[in-house]
Amino acid sequence: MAEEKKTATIMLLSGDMDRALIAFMIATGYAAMGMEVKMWFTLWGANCLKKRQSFWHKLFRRKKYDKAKESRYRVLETDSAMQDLVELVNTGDSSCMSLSRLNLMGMGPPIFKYLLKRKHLPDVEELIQAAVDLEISFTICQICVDALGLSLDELVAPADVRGVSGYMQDSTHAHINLII
Amino acid sequence: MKEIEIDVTEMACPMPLIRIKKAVKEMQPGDLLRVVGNDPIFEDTVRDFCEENTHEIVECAQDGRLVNLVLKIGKQ
Repeated sequence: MAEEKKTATIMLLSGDMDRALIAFMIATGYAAMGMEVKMWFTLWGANCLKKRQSFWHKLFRRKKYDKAKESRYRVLETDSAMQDLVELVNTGDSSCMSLSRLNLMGMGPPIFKYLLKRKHLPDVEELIQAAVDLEISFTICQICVDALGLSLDELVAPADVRGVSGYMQDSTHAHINLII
Repeated sequence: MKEIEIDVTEMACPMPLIRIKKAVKEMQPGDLLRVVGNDPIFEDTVRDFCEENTHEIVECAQDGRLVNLVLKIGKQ
């Protein structure tokens, strides 16, 4: 056993269910084996941390942003109508992500989930919960918060918001760096 | 010295590892941990876990798919 604690950073870029599953499996496995793991989320990967919200909920019942709290990471002056539209159609969360192969126009994920259940494999939600229990730190990239309009109140787990300088520090000090 | 028993049957990789890690976190050096699992690579997983974290496998019994292991917790 090494004296200094081994560290790993895992960046999740893709919003596909299979890739997110493997990213969280590797992260929880590393953490359980005694490594310190930091997970980074950017672009579609950040969808994993969103709470489930339906299209209709987003259309009619969406809260207005708490400007004082959100404006630290968001430039609200440059928001346009297109921004709201992107937020509206980007409805993914950890339970309804698509597959990168054999998506079969939306039929793939339920079939894949059925297979996971039959084989007693954990799904993405369980793994996120396990990751929170194992004290894996979550960080979301700031441009993603700004450009995709993520609200920090609507996340399933607390996450920091940092930029590429933070990623450089984390990844250069880590023994392993994965981008999935 | 206390003894804890956990059951990880019907769980696939990496859930047994996570459960074992959670149990080990609350234990003291010298305690015993009994684990039962039926994952095909369960024994290898626990052996790797012990190798990495200075724990020791005291007892190992196999009954069909079921594997009973007793771990002695090392220093953490």
